[in-house]
Amino acid sequence: MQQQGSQSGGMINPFQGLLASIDSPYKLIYGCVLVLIIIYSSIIPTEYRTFADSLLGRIFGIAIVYGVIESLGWVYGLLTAMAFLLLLHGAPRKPSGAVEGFDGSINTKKAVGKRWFVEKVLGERTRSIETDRVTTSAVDGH
Amino acid sequence: MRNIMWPSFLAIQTNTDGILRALAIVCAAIVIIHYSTMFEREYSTKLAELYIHPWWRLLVVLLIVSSAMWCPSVGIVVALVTFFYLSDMNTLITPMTNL
Repeated sequence: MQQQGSQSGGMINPFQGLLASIDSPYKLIYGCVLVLIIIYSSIIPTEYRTFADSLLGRIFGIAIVYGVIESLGWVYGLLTAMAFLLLLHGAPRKPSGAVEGFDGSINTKKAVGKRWFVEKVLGERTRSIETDRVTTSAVDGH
Repeated sequence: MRNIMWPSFLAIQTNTDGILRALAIVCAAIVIIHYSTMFEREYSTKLAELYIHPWWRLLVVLLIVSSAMWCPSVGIVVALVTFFYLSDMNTLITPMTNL
């Protein structure tokens, strides 16, 4: 008796072919995470970037890229390397513990009284003032 | 006379696909030299405005994936172009005090 409705022969459904060529779900999830990291790399917190820029972070990063290339393939490795480089690129360049400019060397005063017109216009709410006096001297021309 | 042997991944085929790959690599190399080697060289206004939209950055990443699946050499060069573009734009939108 011949079966009705079943397909025989070498014909492959295009959808089945597509499914067969798609990577495993774990790889796809990892790829999606990488894509998200690359897309939103500008809003990654500075703490992670600072760690990535440290000696340990760099060793970890290179090891992860190498591991991904070996295990998941070079396309995933390329995306991993790109995400790592973007993370590294946004790390603050200042050495840790460095004092910025005048920090700590200027006495600050608490802002009191009415807001200035320019503060109202710009929507600023001043909490403290670092410099409220300017010392000038005559131009010494020769 | 000795023939120079290129590594297999750098070899260029003489069929249409090979010529297109070589053309894509040359175009990407021109973009790298023209825009990416100097931070001061400004990108076009359209590229700078589009960077703000996440869907545009998603398309850029998909461009890397598709070009890498097409040809490894093209994928690497396009990834370089994209990295320089994204990092330059990241730097541009970062406040000066955070640099």
